[in-house]
Amino acid sequence: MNSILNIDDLHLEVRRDHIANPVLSGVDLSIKIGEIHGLVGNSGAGKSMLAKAILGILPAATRISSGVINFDGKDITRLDSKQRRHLASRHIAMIPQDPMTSLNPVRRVGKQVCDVLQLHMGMDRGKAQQETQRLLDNVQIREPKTVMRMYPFELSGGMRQRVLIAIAFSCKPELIIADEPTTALDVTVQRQILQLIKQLQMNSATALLFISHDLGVVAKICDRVSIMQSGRIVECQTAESLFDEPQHAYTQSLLETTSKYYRFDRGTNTHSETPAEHQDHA
Amino acid sequence: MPEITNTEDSLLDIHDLRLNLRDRSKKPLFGFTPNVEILKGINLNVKRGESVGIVGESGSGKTSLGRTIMRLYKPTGGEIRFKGNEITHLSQSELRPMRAEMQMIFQDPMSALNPRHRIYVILTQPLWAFGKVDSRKESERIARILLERVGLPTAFVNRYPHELSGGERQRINIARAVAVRPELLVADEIVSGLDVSAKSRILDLLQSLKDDLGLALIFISHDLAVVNHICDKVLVMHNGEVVETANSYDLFHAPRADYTKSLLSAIPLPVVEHGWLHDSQSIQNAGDLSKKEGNETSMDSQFNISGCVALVTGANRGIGREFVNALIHRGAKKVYACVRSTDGVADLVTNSSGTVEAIELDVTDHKRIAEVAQQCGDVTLLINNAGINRLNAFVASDDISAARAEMETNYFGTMAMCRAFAGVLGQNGGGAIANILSILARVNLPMMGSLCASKAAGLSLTQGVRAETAKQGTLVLAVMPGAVDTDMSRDFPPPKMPPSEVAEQTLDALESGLEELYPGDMADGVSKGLDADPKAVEKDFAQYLP
Repeated sequence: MNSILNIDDLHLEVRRDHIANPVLSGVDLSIKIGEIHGLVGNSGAGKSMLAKAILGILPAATRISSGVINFDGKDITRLDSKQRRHLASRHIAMIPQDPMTSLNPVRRVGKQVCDVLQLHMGMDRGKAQQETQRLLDNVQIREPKTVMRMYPFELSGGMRQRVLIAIAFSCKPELIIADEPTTALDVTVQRQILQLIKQLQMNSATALLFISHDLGVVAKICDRVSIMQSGRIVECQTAESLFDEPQHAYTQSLLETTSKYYRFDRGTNTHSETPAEHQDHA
Repeated sequence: MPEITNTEDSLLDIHDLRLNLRDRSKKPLFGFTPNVEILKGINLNVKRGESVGIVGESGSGKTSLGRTIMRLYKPTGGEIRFKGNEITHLSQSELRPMRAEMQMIFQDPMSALNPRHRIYVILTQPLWAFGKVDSRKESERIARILLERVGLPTAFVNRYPHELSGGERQRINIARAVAVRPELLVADEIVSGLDVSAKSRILDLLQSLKDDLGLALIFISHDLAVVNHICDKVLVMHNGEVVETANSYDLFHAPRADYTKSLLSAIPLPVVEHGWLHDSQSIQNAGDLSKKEGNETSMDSQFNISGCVALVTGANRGIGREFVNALIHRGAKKVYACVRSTDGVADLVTNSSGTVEAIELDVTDHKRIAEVAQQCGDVTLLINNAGINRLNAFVASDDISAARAEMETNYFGTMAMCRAFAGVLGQNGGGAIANILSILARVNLPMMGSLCASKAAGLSLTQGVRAETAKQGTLVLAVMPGAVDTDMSRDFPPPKMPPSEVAEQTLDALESGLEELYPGDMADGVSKGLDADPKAVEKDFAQYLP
C-alpha cells in the first residue's frame, strides 16, 4: 500500500552549552494512506519531538542532523520556511494534547475556526462561517451557532477538544498528528472523543499519527503501532500482532506494566441483562 | 451505604456531608450569586490503615469531597469526625494542630511546589511550621532521609523543582506529605499526568508507605484501573452523590450500579477489540454525561436502533413485515422495505408518514442489488430476511431446480447483499448486519432437506462476513429461529412463535451486541440439544420424512 509519510534514518540533536545531545537516533517510520498509526513510548522517548520534526516546528536549539522525511513523495526537510508553512497548514494538521491552553482565550470559538478557513482555504467571511457551522456539526456539537459565539472558558474539556478536532479536519489534510489527544480527559469523555476521531478519520480516509503513552487507547483505535524508546523505534507491527505477540523486550515490559492495572473483568453480566429487560417491555 | 461505626479503628467518619458553592458564572449583574449543590449528602467511613478510592467523571464532586474532608471548603451541612472529634465547624486555628495528622497531595505536582525554593526547604516546610526542626542543618538531614524514603537521590536536596521530571516532583509532594507522619493522606489525581512506568512506580511507593506507616489513604481518581490496584474499598460518585460503595474486588467483578458499569466499560483495556468504539452500552448509560457534553447524537447507530437507517429484504410479509413495524416503533430514522413488487408494502409506506420507502428488489438480481446499494448509501443496518422454502427433499425429489432456487435466494442472495452493502456500512461508521436464517442451519430436517443446506450455507456465510468486516466495526448477527408462524412454515407442526417476536428479539440482540440468536423455546431447545448431543438431535429430526 502507498505511504503518505516515510521517515528514513532520522537523527535529531539538541545543542546545549555547545554539546550536541541526540534526541532521535535513527528513526524509521512509514505511515500508510488512510491508516491510524500509533506511536507509543514513555515521557522523554522523543515522541513529541518526532511530531514537531514532521510539522517543522522544532525548538530553536534543535536540528535535524541527518535523515529524510518524505511526505507525499517530497523530502520536506529541504523546504524553505514558506513552503513548509504551506505544507503544515493545508496538508498536515495537528490535534494537540491540552484542550485548555490550545485555544485563544479571548477570541470566540467560531472566529478561531473561521480564521483557519479564511487564511488557508481562502474563503470569504460568510462562506467561512457557514463552513464552521458545518464543521462543528460534524464533530457533534449540538448547537453549533450558539457554541460559535462562546469563549473557550465557557466550554468543557471534551467540547474544547471537539473544537480542536474540527480545526484539524477543516482543511482536509492528508495527515493529522494527534499528540495525546485524550490524556487530559476522563474515561467516558475519552471514549467519545476516540469514537469521533475514528469516525471522521474513516469518512475522510485521512492518515493519522496517534501519539500516546496509553497502550489501552492505542489498542482500541490504531491499525498499526510503533513503539519508541529513547529516540529509536524498537518495534513496529499491526495492532493485532503487537498485542498478541510483542517481540521486543521493551514492548513486553510496557504491556506487562499496563496489564497489571487491568486485572478485572468489567461485569460480563451486562450483556445478558439487557435482553431480559427488553423482553419485559415487549 | 456505609453505616456510621464508632468503633476503635474508625479514623474518619462522614455523615450526610453537603456542600454548596457560589456559581459565579450565573451571577446576575445585581443581586445575589446563586448557589450550586456540589455534594448532596455523602456518607463515608475510613478505618485506620484502610485505603478508599473515590472515582467519578469530571464534575462529579470527587475533588470537592477531598477538599471538604481536609476542611479547605466549609461544609454546608452534615458532619465530619476525625478520630472521634467533630471537625466540621472548627476554626482555622483550631484545625491547625490536626493538619499534621491529615495531609493532602495535589494533582499538579509543579504548581504545588514553590518554584523559588530548594527541595530541602520545600520538604521540611511542614516541620518548620509545626516547630519540629529549627536549623538548616537539621532540615537538610531530614530532607535526605525523606528523599531516600521515596526513592530519589539525596543530591536533590539543593535542586529546584523545575529541574525535576513530573514523576520526581510527585515524589517530592508525597515525601512532604508524609514528613509530619500523618494518619490520613488524601491523594487527588496524583498519577493522572504520568506515563505508565512513572505511574506504576508512584503507586508502588504509595503502597509501601501505606504499609510501613500504617497510613489511611483516600485516593481520588477518574482512572478506575489505578483505583482497583491500590484501594480496599471504592466509592463511585456521580453528580455529587454516591451511586455505589463496594470493596474493590466486588466493584470490579460484579458492579451493581448501571453508572459503574458504564464507567468500567469505558476503560480501554490493552487488547485489540474492534467493537469497543462502537459499543453503545456506556453511551446509553452515561446519559447525563452526553448532556453535559452537549452531544446526544450517538454515533453508533449500528447498535442503536433508534435513529438508524435500516434496509429489510422480503419486507412484504412474515418476519420482514414485522421488522418494518418494529423498526418504526423503535424510532428508526428510515426503513427501506425491499420487495419484489412494491404493491406488497404499499400500506406500510402510507401508514408510516415518510419513514418507510418501498424499494423494488429481487435478491437474485445482482445488478439490481448494486443499484440499490448506490441509491441507499445511508444504510446503517442491513436485515437479510428474504428467503424461500420449496419443501424439497434430497433423494425423494428428482428435480434439482427447486434446490437451486433455494440456494439462489437464501445463500447467493444474502451473499450478494452483504457484498454490496459492506462498503456502505463501513462508510457509515460500521453498522450492523442481521441474517435471518433458521435453526435448520444447524440440523437437517429431511422434509425440507435442501432448504436446510441453503441455511447452513447462510450460517457459514455469516461467520465469514463477520470476520471480514470486523475491521470496520460491523456487527454481524445470525438469527436462527425455530418454527415461526408464517406462510413459509405452514406445513410445520406447532408450536410456532409469532413473527413479531422474532423481529423484537433480533433488534434486542443487535442493541446488546450479540453475534448469534436463537429466538423462541424451540430454537433455544434445539441449540442446547445440539451442544449436548448433536447425534441425538439429528436422529430426532430424521423422523420427519416427507
